[in-house]
Amino acid sequence: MRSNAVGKGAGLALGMMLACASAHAADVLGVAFVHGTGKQTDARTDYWQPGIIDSVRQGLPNSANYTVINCDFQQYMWTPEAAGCLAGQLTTFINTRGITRLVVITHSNGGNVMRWILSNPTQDSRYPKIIQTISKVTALAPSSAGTPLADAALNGNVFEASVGWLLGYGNDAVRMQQVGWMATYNAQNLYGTAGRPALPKPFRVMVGTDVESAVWDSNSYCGGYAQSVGLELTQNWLGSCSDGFLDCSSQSAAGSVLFNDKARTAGAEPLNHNQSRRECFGLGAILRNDLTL
Amino acid sequence: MTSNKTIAVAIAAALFALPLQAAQTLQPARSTDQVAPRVEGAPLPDSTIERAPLSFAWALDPDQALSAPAPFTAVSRSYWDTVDAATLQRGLDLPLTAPDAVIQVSPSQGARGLGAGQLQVRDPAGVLALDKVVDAQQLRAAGMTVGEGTAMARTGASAAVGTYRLQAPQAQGRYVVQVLEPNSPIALQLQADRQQVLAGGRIALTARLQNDGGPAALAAGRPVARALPAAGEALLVAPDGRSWPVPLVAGKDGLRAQVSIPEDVGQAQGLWELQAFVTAQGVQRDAKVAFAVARPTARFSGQAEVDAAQRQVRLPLQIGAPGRYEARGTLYATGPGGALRPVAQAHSAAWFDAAGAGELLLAFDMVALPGGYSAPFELRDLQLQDQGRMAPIESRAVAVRF
Repeated sequence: MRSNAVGKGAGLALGMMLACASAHAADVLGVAFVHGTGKQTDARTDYWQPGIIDSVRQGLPNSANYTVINCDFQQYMWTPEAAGCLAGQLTTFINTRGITRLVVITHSNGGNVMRWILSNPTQDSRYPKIIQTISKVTALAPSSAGTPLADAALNGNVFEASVGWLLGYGNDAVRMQQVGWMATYNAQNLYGTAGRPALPKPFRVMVGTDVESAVWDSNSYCGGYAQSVGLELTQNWLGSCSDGFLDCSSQSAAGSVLFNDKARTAGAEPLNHNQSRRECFGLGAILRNDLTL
Repeated sequence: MTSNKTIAVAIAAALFALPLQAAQTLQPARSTDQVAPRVEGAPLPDSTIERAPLSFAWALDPDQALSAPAPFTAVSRSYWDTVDAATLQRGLDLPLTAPDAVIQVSPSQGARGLGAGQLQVRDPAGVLALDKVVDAQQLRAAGMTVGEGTAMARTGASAAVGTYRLQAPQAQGRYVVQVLEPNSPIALQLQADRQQVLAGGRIALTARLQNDGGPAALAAGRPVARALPAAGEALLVAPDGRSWPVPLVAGKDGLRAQVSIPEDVGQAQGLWELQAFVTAQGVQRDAKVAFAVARPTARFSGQAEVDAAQRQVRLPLQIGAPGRYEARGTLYATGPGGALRPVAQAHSAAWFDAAGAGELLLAFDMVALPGGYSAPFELRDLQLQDQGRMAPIESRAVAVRF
């Protein structure tokens, strides 16, 4: 049996699941791309860009066995619009393509939504089969311990009877990614952080460690120069090691570190928070080569 | 007696000592445990909730020790304030304690947005001190979900310490001004004594303003941690936006408060916050911590039926409100050296239609024990969650030994 995680539920016999999980020879490998905060309807184009999707899926025995998730990750991670939507699209992908080994690649807050499913297998009857089909999660710059930038976006947003929320409501995903909030969710609802039980499947992290935004440096333009400029200033809210949106300590708070960007990227270039979802500095090839490991 | 006979007698004694199924009382609650003294009714949440009973378990690496996370400590070198347009037009004084501060100006609903070119920051000598300014579009492109018309500026690494002046002649309406001093030696540490509490319960808050030498000193291993005589206040904020002022009282070790949580916790999901606003010697800092508040919609009855042979724990429940409840816990087994180590994690959830008695079964037999591990067992970190209302009702560090 490849998995050591076992579930039981209505209409889901343990024996049958053991039999399914042991089918090594007939493995069908698939990959799912899970976006970060935001409500996506065409994440392939708008969030990831086709370059990295197409680069990674070339590493599949059947390059058609991939899916790009489009959900509303402006909501709390446990909601039907977030984890529920993700579970629905993963289940459809697994069933329609006959996937038996699933690699999930997440970016940013997508790692939290995926970790919610892995940590709360009894919340939804679709979760156990998804968990058992997953062989590993590769989390690109996950916001596992939140970000001070979420705090900064919400600080001062008091509720007043006359105007409601002073700065507008924002969204629940940002609220949830405040540093203190993630500390509480990590302590109570999520697994994989220090001192907590391990997740039922490997959750391996790529850490983005720096931002380069010099106008004369062509590397600053991969993923968009304007994005790099903003990240250089937001980096001030963070520690000395960050990708401009997340501290390295947040990215590596859950699971295990697969690699820090510079250790494997072309030219040892750092991947800022936008570049870690784009075809920058050979990231696609790194992920492609990792699919079957 | 030969060694074989000794082993046989020991096994027989162990079998008598460990009946296949035995009722036990849960271990007495510890000071850090959360145990509901009663159950109560509650309306069902609006969202769709799973109805199927589900169980799941997975193996843990016994060599990976587990520990309860310490309550989160927020560390802040920043503060925010609300200001009106007249103040921003005239100029707002910002006392800065270190070079290279970051200033963020966010318009409230209905206020005029400020472009990057509409902020002026002058240093104590009256010289313009803006190293870089970005607008809302650039911040959003960086992933920061700020409102339209927000701007962020940096004063620059060479800037002097002292009272700066922020001015926006085009301001109209109210604004939130945030100041971050990443290089400042003045930091506020804020900690609550727990990360979950029952409605009507109490939570202790500690706020310490101190000169810690700043990030550079900390990175160089030269922390100073000198406490500053501070004053301040706190605010308890519910997820639905209701808030209650909380006085902070000076004590031997900083500012303290004992905070009473209302019985009426509302229906909104999300965490509660304690926000603290502290000043000393003209320096402001604020910070916040978050915690979960649960209504006692169900509880463990206090008994458990254990089956060491099957590695199962049956947990009777008292249900106060219809809903979906989940038990989760970690099985510790006795290893080769006689020490208890974590070997499996199990969850079990079911829907309960009505108030009354219920039961959940944690089945650790779904995963094999690692080689060399066996009884006696302990069930640790036992939790009861109200899955539909997203509320951690009960937690026990050690539940049963069997």
